[in-house]
Amino acid sequence: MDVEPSPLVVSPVRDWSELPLDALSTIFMKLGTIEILMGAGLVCRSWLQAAKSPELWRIVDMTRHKMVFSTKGSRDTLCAMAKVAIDRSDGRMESFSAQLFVTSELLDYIVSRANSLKSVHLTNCCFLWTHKLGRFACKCPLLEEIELSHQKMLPELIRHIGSRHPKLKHLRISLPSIYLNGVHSEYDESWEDMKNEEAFAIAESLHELRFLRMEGRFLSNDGVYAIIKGCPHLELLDMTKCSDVVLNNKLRACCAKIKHVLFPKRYRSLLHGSSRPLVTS
Amino acid sequence: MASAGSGDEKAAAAAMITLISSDNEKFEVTEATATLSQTIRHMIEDGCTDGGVPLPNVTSKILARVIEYCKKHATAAAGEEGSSSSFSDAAFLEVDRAFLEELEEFDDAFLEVDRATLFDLILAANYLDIKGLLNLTCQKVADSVKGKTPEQIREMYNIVNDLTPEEEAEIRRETQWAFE
Repeated sequence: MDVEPSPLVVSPVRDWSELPLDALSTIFMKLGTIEILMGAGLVCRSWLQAAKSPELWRIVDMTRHKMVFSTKGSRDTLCAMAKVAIDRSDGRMESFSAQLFVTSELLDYIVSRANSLKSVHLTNCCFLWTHKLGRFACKCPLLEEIELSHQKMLPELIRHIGSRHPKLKHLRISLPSIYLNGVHSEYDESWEDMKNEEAFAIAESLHELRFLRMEGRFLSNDGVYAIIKGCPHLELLDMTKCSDVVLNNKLRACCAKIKHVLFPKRYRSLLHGSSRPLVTS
Repeated sequence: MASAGSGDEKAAAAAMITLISSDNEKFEVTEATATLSQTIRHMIEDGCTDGGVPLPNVTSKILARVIEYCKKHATAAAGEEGSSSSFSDAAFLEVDRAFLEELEEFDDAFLEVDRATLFDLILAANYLDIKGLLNLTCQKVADSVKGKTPEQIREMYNIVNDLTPEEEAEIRRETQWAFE
């Protein structure tokens, strides 16, 4: 591009506080919640105004930021930030993601101010009691997507959520790989049932489920069969790291009607193109 | 650049649009290139592009860069449409991947500009409503302010803190962690 510099370009310095609101919003959308609240959103008046736009806070993501993992990011500070984010969303927050720091008090705060919440992702939130999670999930009327990963998950909690949100579309209850290769390796029927408690609860109570990810959770083939029977609309089933799932012909046939199936890692992940339902026993 | 050229040849029969920069320079572009801008797309739909499209907010220097971006990405869009019918064809996927990589390299090189040019590109992308270009340029700004304090960002972008002491006090109350 050999274009002569235009005579209209007088000064090489631009006033970045004069960026149009749309452009500022586009920039802020690419920053996480914590970034906006600690840096860019405090730069000057126009940037602060952009950072207060409720649209920006429809999706609040407080994961992966170094504050979440550092000692500087105390639980109180992070909860205070989350509350500002919730206030700024002005009731329009649709998605909330957080890691580690969430307290029951924060969940109550969300419930009292965020009626539009459709999707909630809580990972490794060790300060939360299971019954608080259940109560929280039941108080969000529009919830379609729940992730409670690295969390002790009880079958009762799944049934509880299912009773209130029978139309739940997404469920993710992954576990980190440290829980892999559970202590019980001997085959025993009662253990087999115990292992599949969560799967049976899902099959019983969440018939509208479309996406189910249970990487690393206790699950064996019987649990998979129950899920497939109980959740006929399933489009994605992720059972990577579920070391008790044995990939055999029956399992393959059973999973054939699901569009995306991720089998345990030691087997090859399969992507089914066919949507033709297969008759299963 | 070779593939951008072949894209132009293919579209040679298509309608041409004249864009006129603020300093009165004329740029002839294909409709496919021009319509990456929603603003221009609407003008074409409304039939008010005869005699050229005046863009009083965009200098020739910036318009040339914007057109360079649109040409490359219009070719990409055309390529995507063409290959969608043969999605399962591994050879096509291979070509697609190579082209996407090339496009990424183009975008990276395109962003190697000074701050003033980046600012002007953002304004132009916003005014012309070119989503891809706005995303690309804003991503560059977002990446540059990540992990920075407000003061560091002010220094980097030459921004004067125009918050009044009252506003400062208010945000300090609301976001005290940023001042600890």
